[in-house]
Amino acid sequence: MLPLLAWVSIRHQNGPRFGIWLPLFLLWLLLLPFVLLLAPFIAIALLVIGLNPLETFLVIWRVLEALRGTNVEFDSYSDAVTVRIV
Amino acid sequence: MSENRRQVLEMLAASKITADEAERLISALEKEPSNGASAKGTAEQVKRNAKYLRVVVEAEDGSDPGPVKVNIRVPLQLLRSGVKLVNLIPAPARQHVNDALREQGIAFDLNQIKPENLEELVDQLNDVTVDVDVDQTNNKVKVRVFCE
Repeated sequence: MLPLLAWVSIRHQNGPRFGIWLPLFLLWLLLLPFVLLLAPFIAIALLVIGLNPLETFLVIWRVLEALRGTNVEFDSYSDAVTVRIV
Repeated sequence: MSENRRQVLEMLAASKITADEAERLISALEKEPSNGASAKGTAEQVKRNAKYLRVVVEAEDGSDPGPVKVNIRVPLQLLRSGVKLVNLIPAPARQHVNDALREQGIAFDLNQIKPENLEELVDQLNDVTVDVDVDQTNNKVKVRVFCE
């Protein structure tokens, strides 16, 4: 399943920590009509350059699916950034 | 014959315990090594089923008041999927990248990155643990790379 949420937290120059939940599922829903609209053209372009469109879509889907569970945390004295993909 | 088993048999010979008790004791002794083996097997199974690659860095130098900490967790499945993404690069583009790498003195061929080759590497990552600990005057760096 595609990642649904992302937590992004930032603290800059010893200021307060600011965190926000990003609803990635809304992003996928927003992108879906564009992807469906452009799919035939993308498929033709992929065929022209010698790639299998179905395989390409599947690989990209699997890469996005595999992003779930990714955590990146950077913490220093003055700055901190946290990104968690759920 | 193990020492414990010998002791049980000596006790039986000296009539200190009955045959049933001896049998139970020997069975209990035989179970202990297999419990250890199954625990070890379970630990190996957990390791083999590792899902994430973790990189933990802690660096401290004299200029900053506190340490810099980096903690990265990447799903191993992302590495597997990423390899398949490389195969999507068209052949002319891959050749172009190979030529650019060669110009920089890097003898690396993108065409050799295949899912079956990398699958074995990702599986071997399950057993990899890298610990780097550098401690110099005013500079301390700890790096840990492992799978969990």
